Amino acid sequence: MTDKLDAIFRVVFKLPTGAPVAHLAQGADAAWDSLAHTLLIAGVESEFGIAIDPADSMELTSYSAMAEYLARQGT
Amino acid sequence: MSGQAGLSFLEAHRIVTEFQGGPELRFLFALSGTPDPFLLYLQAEAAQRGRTAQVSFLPFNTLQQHLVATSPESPEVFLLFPWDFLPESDWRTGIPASRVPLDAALEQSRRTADLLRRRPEAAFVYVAAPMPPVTGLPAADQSLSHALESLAASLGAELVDPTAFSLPSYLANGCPIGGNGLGRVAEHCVRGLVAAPRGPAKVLVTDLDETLWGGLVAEEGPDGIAFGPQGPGYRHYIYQTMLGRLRGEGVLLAAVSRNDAEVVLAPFRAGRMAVREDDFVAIIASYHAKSAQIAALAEQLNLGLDAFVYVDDNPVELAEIGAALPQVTALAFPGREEELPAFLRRLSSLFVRTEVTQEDRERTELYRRRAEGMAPSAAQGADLTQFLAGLEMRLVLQDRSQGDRARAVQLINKTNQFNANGRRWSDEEVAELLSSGGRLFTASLLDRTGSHGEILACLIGPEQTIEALVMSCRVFQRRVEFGFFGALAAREVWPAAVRFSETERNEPFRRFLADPAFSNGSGEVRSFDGREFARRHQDALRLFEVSWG
Repeated sequence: MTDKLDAIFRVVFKLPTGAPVAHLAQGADAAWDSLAHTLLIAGVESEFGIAIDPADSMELTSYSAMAEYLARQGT
Repeated sequence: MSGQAGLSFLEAHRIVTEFQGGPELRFLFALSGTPDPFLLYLQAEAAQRGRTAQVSFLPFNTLQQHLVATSPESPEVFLLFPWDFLPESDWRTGIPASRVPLDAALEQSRRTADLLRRRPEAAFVYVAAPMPPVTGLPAADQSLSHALESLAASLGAELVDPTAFSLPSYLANGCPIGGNGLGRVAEHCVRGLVAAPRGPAKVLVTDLDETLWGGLVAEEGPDGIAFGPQGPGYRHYIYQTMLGRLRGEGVLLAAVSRNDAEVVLAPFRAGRMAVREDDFVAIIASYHAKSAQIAALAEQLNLGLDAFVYVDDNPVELAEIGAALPQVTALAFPGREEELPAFLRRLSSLFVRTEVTQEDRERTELYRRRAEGMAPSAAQGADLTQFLAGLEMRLVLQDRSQGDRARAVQLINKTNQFNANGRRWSDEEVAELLSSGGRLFTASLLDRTGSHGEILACLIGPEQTIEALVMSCRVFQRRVEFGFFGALAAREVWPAAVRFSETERNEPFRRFLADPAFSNGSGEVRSFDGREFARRHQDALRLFEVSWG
């Protein structure tokens, strides 16, 4: 799960292969704007075959929150 | 209506990243919602067709203004939803304060459809997403939903499974398609765009094996292929009857095949198929690239390539056509029955005829006379090197001298065209040769479209003479034989010679044997110079990543 999630973050934020992503969070990173958030949610839905509820989506504002959410979904 | 899965996010990213570029595909992606999540998938779908997408978007929620205020400046693809026809049905604006009468809703929707109809070169994709209650009457709402779908179909829109719509995504960020549906919807959009009619097409060029009929005629013979209205032939029978109708309406039919002419003509001449040889203006059999065959046909018929539609089951052939002849509309022949209706709808939409004249009915005969005497295409193949390089081919060689060799023996005994001498070998004979010091090698081919399996077998005797060498016709034109011999030549000891014998069908092997690295002459044993071969074919060898399995 972590590898895929890392890869999604790197694609959305245009980071090189192997770049750390675990520290990324909305607010702390200017690049994490509303468009990046939309792309992240769509990427996660696509790769993990899930549909994320809008209310949940608003809470997924950091890498760690996203990872915990996916763990709770059993992915 | 289609509901297959499309590319995933990371698959799309990989395709775009690895794509080496191709002819530009510039278009406007017209969507009333948030379009940005589509970009990666649109680029990937274009890349899969050998094209570099240059996509522009409409500002959010300006589709109606765009229709009213602008004329198309570049190709357009419209991804439409019910609220694009009837704004009152948009979830994001809530439920209308007062009920909208069905008649008024239909009138408004028809006006929008008329605006869309003024863009005859646009491609349309429609998602029959669920609507909020607009008319206040469940039966009227249902009628409205069906009417909108019919309006979209009347525009020639490709209809997408309504489950692609995601209300959560639409409400959360304005994109009406959730992450799970972006890939398949983008596939519809790019396919519709690439296949968008530029006026009715005039020529349908069809592949033969696994398209006009089921099976490979060179391997299974005219009695082994399937084309009748039963079992595995049904899909092909229906396709043939469709071709018959198109031919009667003035569409010119042609066939191209990598094969010998007499082999592909045999099923036509047996007279049991729904189409006959004289339904076709040309049946071209040659070993050149299909793009070269089609280009030569266009010249012969004096018709522009944008009047051509090409149908093939093989995605690699379709990609080759897409890269070499982007003006040609390339359609994939369905691999499964459930995909047949959508395929036939699309085919039909490309050849719309409002009136069929006597001249239409006689057109095939007129063009047949023009094309009379046309020999199997001698046109030079398009430069395939760049195209093949983009396939990222990997050749995995196996030493099958010990262990399982069933597939290798099967290949040796069923392959006719790329076959050094046509000799059949029993498993016992192969075992005996191996026990006396012989070797058996095979090659498997993989590329970015997937695995083609074990496609080449080479049996070498103890004196280093190749006694059997066969390659499946499925991978012709990939230069696999060059990759394989290059790999053999790179070994410390390469085969000294090939045992050759001319057969009725091994013209493809004879072409390969004409390479200067093989000795001339009329004898059965032709010597092989591995160093000379490697020197002459460095370009071809670079097409493959070769490994030993």
